[in-house]
Amino acid sequence: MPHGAEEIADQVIAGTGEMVESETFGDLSPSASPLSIALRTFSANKLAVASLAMLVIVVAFCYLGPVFYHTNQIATNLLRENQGPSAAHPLGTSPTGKDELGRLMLGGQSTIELGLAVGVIATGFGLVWGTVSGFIGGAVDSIMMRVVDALLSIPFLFFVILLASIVRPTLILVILVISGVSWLSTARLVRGETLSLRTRDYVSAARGFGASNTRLIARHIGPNVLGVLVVNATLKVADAILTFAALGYLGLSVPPPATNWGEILAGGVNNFFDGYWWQLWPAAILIVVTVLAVNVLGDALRDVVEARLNQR
Amino acid sequence: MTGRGLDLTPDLHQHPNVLEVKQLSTHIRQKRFSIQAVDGVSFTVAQGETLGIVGESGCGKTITALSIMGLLPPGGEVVGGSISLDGVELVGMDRAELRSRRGSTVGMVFQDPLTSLNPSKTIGWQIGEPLRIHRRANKKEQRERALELLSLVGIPAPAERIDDFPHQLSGGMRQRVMIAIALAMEPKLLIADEPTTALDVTIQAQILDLLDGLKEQLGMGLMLVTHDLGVIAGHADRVVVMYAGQVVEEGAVGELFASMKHPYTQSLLSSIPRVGQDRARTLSSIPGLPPDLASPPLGCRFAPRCSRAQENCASAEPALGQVSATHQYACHHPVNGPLEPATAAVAVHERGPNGNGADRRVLVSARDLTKEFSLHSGLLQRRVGTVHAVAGVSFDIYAGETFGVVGESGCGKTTLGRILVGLESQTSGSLLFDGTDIATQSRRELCRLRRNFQLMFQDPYASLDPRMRIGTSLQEPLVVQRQGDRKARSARVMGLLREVGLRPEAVERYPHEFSGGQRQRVGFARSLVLNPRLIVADEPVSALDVSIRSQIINMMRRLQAVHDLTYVVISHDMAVISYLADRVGVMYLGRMVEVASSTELFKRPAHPYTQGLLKSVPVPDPAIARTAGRKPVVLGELPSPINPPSGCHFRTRCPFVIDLCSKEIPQAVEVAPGHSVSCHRSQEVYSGDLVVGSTSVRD
Repeated sequence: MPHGAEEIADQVIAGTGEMVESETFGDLSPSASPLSIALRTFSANKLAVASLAMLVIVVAFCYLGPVFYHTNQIATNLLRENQGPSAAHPLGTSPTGKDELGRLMLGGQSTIELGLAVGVIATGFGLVWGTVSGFIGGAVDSIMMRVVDALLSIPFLFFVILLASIVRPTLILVILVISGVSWLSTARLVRGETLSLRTRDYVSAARGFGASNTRLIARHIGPNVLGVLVVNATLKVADAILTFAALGYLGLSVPPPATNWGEILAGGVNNFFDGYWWQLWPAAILIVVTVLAVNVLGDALRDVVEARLNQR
Repeated sequence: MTGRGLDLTPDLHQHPNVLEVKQLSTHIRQKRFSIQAVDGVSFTVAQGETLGIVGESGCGKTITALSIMGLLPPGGEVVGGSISLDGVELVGMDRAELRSRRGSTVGMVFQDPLTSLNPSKTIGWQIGEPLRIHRRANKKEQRERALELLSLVGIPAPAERIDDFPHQLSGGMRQRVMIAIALAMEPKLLIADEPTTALDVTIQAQILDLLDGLKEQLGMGLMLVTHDLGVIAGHADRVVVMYAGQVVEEGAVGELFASMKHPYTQSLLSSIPRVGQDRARTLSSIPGLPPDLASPPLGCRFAPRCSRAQENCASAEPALGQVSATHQYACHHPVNGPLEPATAAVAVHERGPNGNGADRRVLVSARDLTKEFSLHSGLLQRRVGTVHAVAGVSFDIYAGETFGVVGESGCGKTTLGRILVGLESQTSGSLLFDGTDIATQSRRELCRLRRNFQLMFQDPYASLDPRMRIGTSLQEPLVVQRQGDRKARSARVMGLLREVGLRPEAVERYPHEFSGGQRQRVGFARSLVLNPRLIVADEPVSALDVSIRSQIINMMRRLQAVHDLTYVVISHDMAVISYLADRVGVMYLGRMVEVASSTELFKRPAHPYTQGLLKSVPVPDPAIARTAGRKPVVLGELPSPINPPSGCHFRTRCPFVIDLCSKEIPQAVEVAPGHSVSCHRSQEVYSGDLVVGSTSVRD
């Protein structure tokens, strides 16, 4: 865009009587809002849009499905066990004679709830822990990070098996256990980010005009950590879903009549050699599709977050 | 030869051309558009000749160099023209063949020696690599050649350094290694892209001298890409001036500097501050920015920024016209020679401490200021050493003056600046601001005091929160200090933006939407928001192009007068300091070795280090740059601040060293009123008996 000579025309600043050149903003279109830039970047990524659509379908399947498709997921009916797909049961029945399709919906609900809960809890706790540790530094930082190291050194499966033998697992308990492990890596990530952010010039500048620590964290470090954090949180959700499935598969999860995809999968694997594919594949596909979609979404969010800063 | 009758083109035409570039056009494809980075550029480099390519950043200098190397960034493509290297056409050559020439017929030295060396391999391995690739040399041959090259590029004790890793070497040494790698296959052409921009002046002089010597010794052609006309004046035989992807002027160096025809060349030269420049006048500057090369303007591309532009400039593109066999330019309304200083400038208010000592008020008073950083290492974080960043510095800064702090990187000037604005606290010594000791203040008092002193950062982009709109960033200091209501704050910000020459719309924008110069204006506005009395400017212009640099310097001087500010300007650039500062302190390895008024210091330096620094500054005038000692005068490198030399820190690099220097730390003595020096031989240096560079130089 040419800078017309008249645009750069010297301009007299009142009071000083001196000439000052006023600059132009070149080819900038009217300042695009961060939201519109974000939306534009996101919608340019076709895979991400498809993933989002897929997730919407999965959520609708789990929560709206039961409204239209009524099944009995409480009573065991051994007369109908292991039936193949039919008009009454489009995806056959389970080893306990429950309707598979309805069971997938029910199992999906707990999976989605767990994924979101772990994402929020682990991210929130990790954010606070990591920012405080990184910002304060010194001995406090050392102690807080050694706590993280110590917790990371506990073998997760062993811990869960032990726990399951002591108490009867509930969904809330499983959420807390998975979050208890999940926040550790977030805390490390956030601390690293905070360490590098606190030495940035703009943080120095804010300190230089008298900003308090609270303000530095809340206005300058927090928002800038948030970028990586949003992405990390999505990946946490995917991780939690996988962990939950693994636990369910091992029988370390919520007791019946509640269920989850991992548990359905385990039942299907037991009967795999009898040819009961409907007990295996639908659950497996749902797990893979959901985790994949969440991961792709996380990647796309990273692009969106960075696009805001790298517009030129 | 016209002009000053200086013949600086010694029989170039007897030598064959190593490189012939004709009508080269390079485009860089991006997502939505294509940048026409190089557009119809032609030039030649003869054997044994140095061709300088100069222009602002974004003018296509580097892309031209990378086109020759075949190392264009993703999306980059040569779309037209020809590049003939040693008689062989490179455009359209297949990749394998191109690769066999790269690194053998042509070598390249990059700007940043830190990122262009592999940190995980020894330098010997890296120098041997081209031999391995092009000649399949065995290990022994590689090592022998590496040793040979290391001594060729002037690395002391090559046998001891050959197994070093890049991080064990200083910046200057790394650049020497880069040159050794580029020379490994004895190329016919060496391309040096801003080879000294990241280095200190003393090291810059050494490296440029090395390149000059190697060129002559090896008889190769040298293409020197730089933004610094001083470097060009001292080291190029011919110059190509590029603007917006095109060649606007080309000529032998003496002819071009003495009688340039293109207004761009003229403005570029006149916007450089020089040591000893008349401080009563503002620097001339080029308004605006180079055009966007995604859609280059019709006609002359410089027209929108040109004071001589007329109607035909905007419609017809000027062709290259000949002045003489060695000089051509592309302009409809050419100038004739450099701008006379008298027409270049508007007077600024001469201010500062003109009166004598009695009526000068001390604003900042530092006594024996010391800052130490401990180095920790190992599992238990044991203390393994101490860096004396600032080691016992004393000085006064008077209200309303500009105090310059100058020295090589690593001399502690930035740390000193951070102590002055309370971002670091001193290890010992006292610092009084207007009579108040900052170190003893309570947290709340300190917060209030901070209004009085602000830091202006070197990199304005890094000093602005990328997620905050400019308006929010500028208002933040007022919010923190609880000054004014929303309306008053907003009005204050608008007023400031006007003062620094930005439009009010700027408040709505994010930092990444601005150019470098605009960002520095924003940075300056932010340091002004609280109406401080002292502004510490840390390298305020060193990240900027020369044309923008002078705009910022002029703005700083204008606003100093308006707001009655006291400045501390920290810079490695002697010319900037000499233009901005009333008094100057020279720092070397944590100590202030000389303090004097600017006029006195630059006329009669009394410390050998100051003398050496002054002589290392490239002068943008071939007549001076070529006659006066072209040889580097300060040799060696800055010693480690962990283990500084005993006695006088400078003794390891000083040509006048005597026994006393290693035994006793020289105390500051006044050689003249207001001129204090810490040197055992200051009287002799001050009286002119000892002059750096004129005696035989130590190695």
